[in-house]
Amino acid sequence: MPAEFILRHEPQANGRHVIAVAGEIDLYTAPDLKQTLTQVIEDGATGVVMDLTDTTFLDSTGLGVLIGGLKRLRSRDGALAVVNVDESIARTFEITGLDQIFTIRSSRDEALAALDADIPA
Amino acid sequence: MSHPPDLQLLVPARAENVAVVRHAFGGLADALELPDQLAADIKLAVTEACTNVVLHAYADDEGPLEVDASILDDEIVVVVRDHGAGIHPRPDSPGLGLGLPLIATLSQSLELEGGSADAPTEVRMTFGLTNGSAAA
Repeated sequence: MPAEFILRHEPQANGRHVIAVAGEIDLYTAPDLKQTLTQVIEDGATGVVMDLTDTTFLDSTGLGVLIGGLKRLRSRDGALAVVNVDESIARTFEITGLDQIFTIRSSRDEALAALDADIPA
Repeated sequence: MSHPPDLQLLVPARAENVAVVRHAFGGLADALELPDQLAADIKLAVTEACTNVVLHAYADDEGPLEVDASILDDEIVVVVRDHGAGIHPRPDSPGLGLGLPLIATLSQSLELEGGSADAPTEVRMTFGLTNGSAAA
């Protein structure tokens, strides 16, 4: 059975926000991800980590949501970092060239540290 | 193609059914013992083709999404078919426009056919079977 789609918003002590996604991101589930990410940004977040550690599939619809979030955050002098350890998902980022656009790290701690480097003090 | 399909799916073109098709191909890949990377490529390409049907084929209506797979000696041919509006540039597309380029990159070959009033739209993708374990 495919993994259940679960979204978790985990505010961090330093004002950063982590959105952890378990399961598959596609046309059916991407709207929920978009809603959560948009809400977090509208509520004032400038540093967001999208944790895909437990994500088992990502298509272009999901990439579109991530791009939209990145653009919104950058317009507010913010940043978005991605945690990914899945080879197939990494390949999807690479094929589309989006691995050059996103800050992608292999752990949540590394991604949070990357936000600190990307966001102006 | 004279070879009859080894897998045929017919589902309503709805967002939730894209995963149904993808998981069927996951099962097929498991049965054929395809390499993980090839299985992932097929699932992503099929997902992108089915997503295009759901988003673009029938506008606000609903119609059929047909998917066939034929397993040949050294390749698997997947056809995603609809009876909708055909493939046209769409300025108001909700997507990034990455679907077809992704399919073209992931597959060995990509052919687009039909899309007129009397012919279905077909996206035909061919994937090479590299480990020789596939059996029809």
